[in-house]
Formats: sequence, structure tokens, C-alpha cells
Amino acid sequence: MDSNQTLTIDEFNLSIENIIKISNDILDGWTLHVNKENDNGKYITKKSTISIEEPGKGNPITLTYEHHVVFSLSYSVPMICFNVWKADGSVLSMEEYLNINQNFDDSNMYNTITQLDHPVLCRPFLTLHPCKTQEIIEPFLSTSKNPVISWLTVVSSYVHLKILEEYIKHC
Amino acid sequence: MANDREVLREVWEGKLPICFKLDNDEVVDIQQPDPFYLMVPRLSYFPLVTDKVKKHFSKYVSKELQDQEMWMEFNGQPLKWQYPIGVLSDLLRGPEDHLPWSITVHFDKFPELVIYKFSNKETIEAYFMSCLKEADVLKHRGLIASGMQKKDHNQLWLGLQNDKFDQFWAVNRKLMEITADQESFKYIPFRCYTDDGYRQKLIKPLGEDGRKKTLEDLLNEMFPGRSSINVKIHGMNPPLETPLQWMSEHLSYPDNFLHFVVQLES
Repeated sequence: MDSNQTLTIDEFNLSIENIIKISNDILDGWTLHVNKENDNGKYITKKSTISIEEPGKGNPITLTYEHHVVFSLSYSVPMICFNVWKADGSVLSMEEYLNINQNFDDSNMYNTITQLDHPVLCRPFLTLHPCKTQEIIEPFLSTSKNPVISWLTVVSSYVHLKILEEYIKHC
Repeated sequence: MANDREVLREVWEGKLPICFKLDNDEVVDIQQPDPFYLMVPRLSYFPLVTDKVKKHFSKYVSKELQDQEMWMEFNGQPLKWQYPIGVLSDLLRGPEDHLPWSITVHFDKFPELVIYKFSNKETIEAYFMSCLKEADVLKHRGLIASGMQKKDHNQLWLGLQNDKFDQFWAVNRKLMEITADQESFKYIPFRCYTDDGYRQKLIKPLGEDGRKKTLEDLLNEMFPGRSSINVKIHGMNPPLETPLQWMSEHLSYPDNFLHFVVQLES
């Protein structure tokens, strides 16, 4: 696996700074955070509110997401972490989330979404587990101008994150 | 390869006496519950050892709270269940906090943004296994953990859960081996805990010149320019000249990480 190309932290930082630039142009709401204590201290976040149908019940529910895109030093890949709130302000537990989000409706769901510590904030977030990310991102590393955007276009819809066309033009 | 088996066993057998008390404000019974005493393995996690504690206290709280997830607190800080018990003790107990360690139990107002909501043991298992995989990514590029069968993963988990040293180490020794194409682990899986969380960094066990790096080298890379640093692991202060490779093989927690609690002295 050593011969495999991986995303470097510098490439990751450039990619997310590029995302911030596009987001600022189109007012899409991504924010850059910098924590100087950590080697991987740069990450971006976005809050969004969505309305979906509650599975099995059909009534609409409103969810507020906070998505984080952050670099995992150990896996040398980007990670999506997120928290989800219901309209009453309570945080969804992993089980509640997996009941609502039917995109992970298979026997392996615990391997795909895991509660992990955020690499910079060190507190629990729902996380798309990074162990398969290398497989997804590898083909983009030599072809895309922004591998983080390219990877997001593959995985974002599973976790209700919208990536607008303006970003895709840049990769 | 881990040769100093006695060290492994000594670390595995580390235990802490704990005195659990229910928060006074949550008691609805006329009678105050007795405190609950338990001897727990330092290497385990609270949700794996506190079923009896929950059973003991749940009959003293109001009906609505009985089914709530129990959580624990020490000196006003919620205990993070995803940290091994020994790490919490090294991190939170000061020299004046004598044993048994006195912990307050709650059923109400779960602090869900600070600590995981572990609603079942599968969630804990998933968290533990993902730490173990991450450690193997650092040591062997993930090749050993991903080459294992499901039954090996189960054996590691059951060995930890049931406090069975031989069962756990029969599988874990493979994760602690240096593969034929390596001179050492690729990176050392470790976390340095300070008051406000922990930090990780990619640190190799050997220097550019092939020299074995020590704990002192790790601290210099993590905290450049800081001279007086107090490091604790498994309740002791390891000598700074201990080689990192040896530490990783012998002093790692079951999740295969070295968990150092670090105090930067001014």
C-alpha cells in the first residue's frame, strides 16, 4: 500500500481554502477554523437545515446539521464528521440517526457511521468511517484540481450535504 | 515482538478500587442508597464494568429516569466513557485524591455533547475496534488488522470484556509484531492528554540515523521548547529514556494506543 498515493496535509489545506473561497463568492456558508496546536488544525464547517420524511411515518421532520471536513493524520485522508439536532434542540444519538437516515440501511452500518472523536476538537461526532476513504479518493489524486471536492461529490449525499455545481467546476 | 510477557501481565492486572455514589438530588426514595464499591481493571471501559452499579442505583431514582443512560462524574467533570478507566484516573485524580476513587453517578441530564451516548455494548465495541484499526494503520499500514478474520476481532473484544489475558494476547501479539519488511512500526500509535483533550502526531520509532527514539524524543516533538513535563501512563511516571518501540509493544492499552497523560509544568 506504500506505493499508493495519499493526500498530503498541505494538499488538504489548499483544497479546503479553495472551498472557502468559492463558498464566500456564492455565500454558501462554509467557515474555516484554524487551531495552531495541531498539525491538522485546519478544518471547515457548515450548518444547514433540511426537511426530510420520517421513515415509516411519512411526516416531515426538520434536522439541523453541522458538517465538519477535517484531516485524519493517521489515515492521511479527509473525514466528514457531523452532529445533527432535531427541531427541539436535542442531539440525535447514533441509533436515532441511523433510523432516520436510510442511506445506511444495511447490516454493516456500524462500520460505516461510527461515533468517533473529532481529530481536532476531541469530542464525539458521528463520522463517516475513514477506513474506505483512501479507495474513493485515490483515483482523484492525480486527476482532480481539488481532490477534497471530488471526494465530497461521492460521499456527501449519504449524509445530506449539498455540494453545488460551482464547486464541481473547480475540480 | 513482545518478549517481556511479565510486563504485559503486570499492566493487564492493574486495578482501581472505586466508590460509586448516586447524586443526592436524584434520590427519590426515602432511604439513601448505600455507596457501591467495585474493583475495576484499569484497561477496561466504564460501560463494560458498571452494569451492577446501574442495577443497584436505578431503584432509587424516579420512574422516568430509570431507563435513562447512566453517566458518571468526578469533581464536576463528566467521565468520558470512550477513554480507558486508567486514562481517566491518570488524567483526573490529583495526588490529594485518595483511593478508593469516589465517583458520582447520574441518571438525569446526560451531557451528550461532552460524552458519548453508549446505548449498547455494540457501540462501544465499534468505537474500540476503530481505535484498534487506526493503531494498525499507524503501525503496519492497516495490513494486519484488515487481514484478520471476524473471529479474531471477536476474540480481542471478548478477551477485554471478560478480562481474559490469554484470550486477548493470543490475537493481540500479531498486532504487536514487526512484519518481515519492517525494522520497527511505521509510526507509534499514541495520544497525549492534557486538560482540554488530547493530541496526536505522526512519530516514527527510529530516527533518521536508525537510532531508537525515546519517550523524551516524543515529548520534544510534541511540545518543543518545554523542558519540565510530567508524563504518566498506567499510574506511573516512565523513565524518559525508554525506547518508543518497546513502550508501544508493552505499555499500550488494549486499543493498541499508548495513552500518555501530560502535565506541562510552568
